[in-house]
Amino acid sequence: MTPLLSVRGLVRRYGALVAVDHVEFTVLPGEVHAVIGPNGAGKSSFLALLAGEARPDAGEIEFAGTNITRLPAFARARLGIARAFQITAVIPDFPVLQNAVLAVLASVGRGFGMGRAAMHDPVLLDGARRLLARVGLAAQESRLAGDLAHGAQRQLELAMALAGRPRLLLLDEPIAGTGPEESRAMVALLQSIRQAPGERPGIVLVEHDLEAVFALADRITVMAEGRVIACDVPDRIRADAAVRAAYLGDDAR
Amino acid sequence: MDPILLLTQALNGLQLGVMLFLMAAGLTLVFGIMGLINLAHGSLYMAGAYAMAAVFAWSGSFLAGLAAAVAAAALLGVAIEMAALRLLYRRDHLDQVLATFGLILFFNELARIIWGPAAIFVTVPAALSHTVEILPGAPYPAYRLVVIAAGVAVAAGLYLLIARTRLGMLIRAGASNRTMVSALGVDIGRLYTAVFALGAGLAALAGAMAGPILSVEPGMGEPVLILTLVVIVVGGIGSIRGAFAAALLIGFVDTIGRAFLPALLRDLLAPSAANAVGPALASMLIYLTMAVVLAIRPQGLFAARTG
Repeated sequence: MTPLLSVRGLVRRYGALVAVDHVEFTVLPGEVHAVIGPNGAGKSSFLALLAGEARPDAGEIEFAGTNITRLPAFARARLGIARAFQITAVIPDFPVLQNAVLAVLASVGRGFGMGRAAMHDPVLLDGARRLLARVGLAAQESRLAGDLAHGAQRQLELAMALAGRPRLLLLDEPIAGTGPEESRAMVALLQSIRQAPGERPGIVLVEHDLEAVFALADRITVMAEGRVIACDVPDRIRADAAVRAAYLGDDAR
Repeated sequence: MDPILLLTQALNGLQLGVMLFLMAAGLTLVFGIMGLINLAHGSLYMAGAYAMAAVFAWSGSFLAGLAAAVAAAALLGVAIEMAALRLLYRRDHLDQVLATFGLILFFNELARIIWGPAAIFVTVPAALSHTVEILPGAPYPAYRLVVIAAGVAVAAGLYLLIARTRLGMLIRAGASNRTMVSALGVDIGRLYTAVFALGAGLAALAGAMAGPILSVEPGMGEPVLILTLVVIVVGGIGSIRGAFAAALLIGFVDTIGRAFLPALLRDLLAPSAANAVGPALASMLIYLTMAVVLAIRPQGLFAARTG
């Protein structure tokens, strides 16, 4: 199968630090490819390079046959790469529904009609309500996003990422930091997203919660000090000695 | 205190307030959304005034002058944003202050080269050159009333634009979290340019309307820029509502203070002391107001919530 995303020789330096060091990486259509590793391994920097928030010092990124290495973040989003952040990114002083409308607006309405009302447009509102229903937030649409529980904010963020029917989802620790109940809900939600008929987006999942990673991932890449030290199916990663070594001294995880 | 004088001065304060709001709206949006301190905002005000003076003199139509001022300054704003300010968004505020201060010097000199150092006087349009008796025995220039009305109308329109429209929603979202808004597929660079053009157009409108009240000359943007900076700090940086409330507050305090404080002090102090202290204290009054507001609410009257 042709990869949806393929990354070759990706390098990003911050001064003397090589945050991402010659990383090779692919995502197949419909695949969940998890990225794990100790803190400071370069996972978030890698995700930022994929999203276009930072530029690589070397290497190529190809998405669905297009070289996107030099494209800015918004252009990648329009090609179908959606993103959820490590620090939950919703607009805290917008109501939940308005956050979802914002996402639908960003994905459909470009350039024209910017003077039209935002919150009275049936197309935007219907699209937004469908997204909220999908993540189970329909009943909370009029609450301020900033007042939601942490897990619900992450669900909202995921709903917003889905607005443009992305072909690739970049998720930065959607589960870490949520309670056990919220964590189970998020795993179930991610399962439903990857199995949604007709969509089946590829997912890059950066996550510390290894239980969730092993439940969701088709393949796992392990990073340490900016480099890929292993990339394989979950069972083989579990048994890999180098992976265990990388986590030594980080056993709190 | 003479009630008619008080009413007249209150209207003067209101008129200064709406002018300051037109200036502050653009500056606070640019600072709140892009994190950019643009000292050259006063140059856009000056550009509006000169464009107005030139087109009004050439065409004889005040409205054509206004339209030309807004359009010219919006274009100039886009050019400045794309050529210079775009390079400054990621720099720290001191770099921004230095670079935009350089722009002030550049534009003041440019105005001097094109129009000369002398002030240009713009006449009030003939249709508005009369006075209106707002109360029996209290005439007030019709032109200033129109300025007040125009300022309030623009403020209302701007409020609707920001609060209700798609563009406004993107502006507010971009002010809160630009990385996330980019990730949703919004071209933040184009949004910034649009916001900057909007702010430039409003500053030019203020400058163009000020033309017949003040004189049009190189450097005319700086005194109003300083008042505007006070307004956006008092109002809460990034907040349109805050800019409106603070602009009216500063407009009133400055006008009423200058009109009545010296007389008030003459009742309290010896005449020589009052004459010395009065005008000085009156011109300090807005900074005292700012200090008091910041002591009570360090984030300003209406802090824009970001997070």
